[in-house]
Amino acid sequence: MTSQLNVDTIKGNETAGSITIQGEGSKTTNLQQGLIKFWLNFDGQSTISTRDSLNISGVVDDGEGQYTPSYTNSMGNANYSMGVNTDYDGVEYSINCKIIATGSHKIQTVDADMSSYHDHDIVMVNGMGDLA
Amino acid sequence: MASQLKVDTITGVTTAGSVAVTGEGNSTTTNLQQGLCKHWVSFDPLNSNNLDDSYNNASVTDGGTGIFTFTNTNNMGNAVHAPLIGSEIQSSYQDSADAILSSGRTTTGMKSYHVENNSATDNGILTMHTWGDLA
Repeated sequence: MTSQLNVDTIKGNETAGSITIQGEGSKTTNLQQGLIKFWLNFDGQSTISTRDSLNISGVVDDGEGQYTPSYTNSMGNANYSMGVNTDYDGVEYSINCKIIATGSHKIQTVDADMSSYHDHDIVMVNGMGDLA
Repeated sequence: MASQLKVDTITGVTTAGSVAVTGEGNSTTTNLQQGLCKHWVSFDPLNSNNLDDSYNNASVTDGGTGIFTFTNTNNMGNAVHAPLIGSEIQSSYQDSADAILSSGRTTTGMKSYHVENNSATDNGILTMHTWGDLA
């Protein structure tokens, strides 16, 4: 018979922030380490606006092609792992993260020959790591 | 009243490795195990190949300029897992790319490749997130 658990909050019993999950095969994984800690989809052109997000308190416009998203709940260290991407609007661009801190990170979108920064309509970012 | 569950391990009852979780829309469900990232790294090739932080990563092997092999602590269940890779570019944004080598995705890990200006290059901070089935 299928069982169902109704619960609003899950916390580790021995260690509050660590719960073991049985994986798809025989190995186990860790719930907290496997959960994405922030994700963001925002409009990086003209007036910055967040379309949807998790654990993002706001995005600061640092000028053409440069943005600083901040977290609602900070990360536990500045060594977390991030992924970033943008839409393709007909010109080759590179996007990278620079200055990764516990409370925010900086995204830069640069055109292919590094001559200038460039705003994008769709900017997406996510992060894995330890919450504070 | 909000309820709180204190537990150390969660295992599916019908299928040990499959637990359904109600989604944000309160109607459809997603799968807990399938939604968890199984391996992630923050790796710094230009700083003595320092592994800044990671999860489920046992070791990193330097395979030559721009090439690194990441070995899992707990293996993946198959070789068709989905690693996403990115990095901090060092010399030029032109013709730069990060990739998983076609032969480098195995149950034991994955092999990354970074190129700038059509040449293999050791990148700055390299990040990788992997989703898929654990062994």
